[in-house]
Amino acid sequence: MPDYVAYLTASSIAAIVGAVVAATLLAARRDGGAAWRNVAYVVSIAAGLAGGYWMMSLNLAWPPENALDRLLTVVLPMALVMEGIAGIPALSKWLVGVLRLMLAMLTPRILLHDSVYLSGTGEWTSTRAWTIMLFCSVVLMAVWMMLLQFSGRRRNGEVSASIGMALLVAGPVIMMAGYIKGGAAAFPLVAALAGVAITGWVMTGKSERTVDLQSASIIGVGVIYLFGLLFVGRFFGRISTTTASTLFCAPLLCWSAGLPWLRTLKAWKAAAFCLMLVAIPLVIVLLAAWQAFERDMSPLL
Amino acid sequence: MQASSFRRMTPLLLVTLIASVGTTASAADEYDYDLVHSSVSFKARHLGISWIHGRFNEVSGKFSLDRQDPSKSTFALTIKTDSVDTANKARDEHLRQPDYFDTKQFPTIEFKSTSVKAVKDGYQVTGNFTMHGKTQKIVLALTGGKEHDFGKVKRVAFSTELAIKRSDYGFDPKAIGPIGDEALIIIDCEGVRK
Repeated sequence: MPDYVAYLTASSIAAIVGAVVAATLLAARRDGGAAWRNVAYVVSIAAGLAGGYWMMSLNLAWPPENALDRLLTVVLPMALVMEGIAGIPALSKWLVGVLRLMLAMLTPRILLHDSVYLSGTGEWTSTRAWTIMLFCSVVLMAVWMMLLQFSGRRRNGEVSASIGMALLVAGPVIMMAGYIKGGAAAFPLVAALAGVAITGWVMTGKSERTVDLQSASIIGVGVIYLFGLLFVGRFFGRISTTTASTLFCAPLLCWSAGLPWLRTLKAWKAAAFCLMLVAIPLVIVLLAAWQAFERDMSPLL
Repeated sequence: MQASSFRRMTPLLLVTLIASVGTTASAADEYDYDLVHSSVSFKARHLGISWIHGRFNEVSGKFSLDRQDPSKSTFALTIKTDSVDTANKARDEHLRQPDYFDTKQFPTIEFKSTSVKAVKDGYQVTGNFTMHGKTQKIVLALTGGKEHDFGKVKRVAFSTELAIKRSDYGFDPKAIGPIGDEALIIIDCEGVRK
């Protein structure tokens, strides 16, 4: 049964731990530059997540036994390390791109490891398995790159906020489809990302604030986790392909803030409109999930 | 006995000897699991006040019975977790998800015997029971085992019950609450050989 008090407590711990670690690291080297801030964010997110999941008693197994274990103990750490490395100024952009591409290609394969989809028992043929994994990797990479590109143009935190909104909806949707533990795992991450992003915004200089609110590390970790959660919810839980695709692609509606008539608005108004647009498909998916839950699952409770 | 008589009988003696050795070597009868006349069902507590019943509809297996030396008998059973059936489609879908059987990660439940002992009214079978990626050693008390002829087919049947704790097999402790930790598995199995 969902334990909402535990989720709220775990999320609070994740946000607080993330914020405290971020504040400590940023204060330690105030003139550390963008690279140091990037590392600080990565370490803070990791600390916040560790605190949140410990509080939640998520009972992750090592070596990983299921898809959620693989997401949280393999894919997420890989994303954190990669984003930490990506912030090194000496690293060329194409090398950073290659690292991100490698992670995008590996993520579906890691999540499906040892499952019926890859076991050759008939669920999927080998060709079908590789085609689907490749397609998912391409979609992941495309959405990730578009969001990164857009975050460079619009700097009011819309991209980070939209990823957070999608994660906040993905959690309950997966839970209402019947995978409670998987859905609950979304909350500490949203809280950790929010705690770290806000701390960075408060502690950095005015000129860097809007950049850091949606730094590449926050976006990268958020996108990878959103993809991984929805992937697990689709192939191991019972959310539909339409639901998973809608939730994953909803943050792309941030591009609407680049429309000519919106550029005439004040920055905060354009950002608010953009987030309202992102919220529309999220609310529709949430309502549909609630309807299905009321029809199918609530009689079982 | 004259030498010529002995020489005539030698081939016959040799054939008889070979046939008897052949019979001793293949003393174990092999049976295939008859899904139509067998069932694997279970029940678990709901909120501590009632029982939820279910069954698995896709089961396969083989067993071999050596009546002269029961310790050489073997039993093996494979259950497809996706075939769980509790007469409620939504609940079945819920049970297939990672909070419970996680059928896409752990598609089968398996039992393989490691030792067999004849006891009164049946066999005591020790073996490895694998569910949800975890293996535990268990002991089954099988009752039955008498062979019946029906047409050209020989049939033998066993029954057993097995109490397990889901927490011993890696089920999420938080999913153990409304549905009790302990589950009772009832196996009624009929094997056929021609």
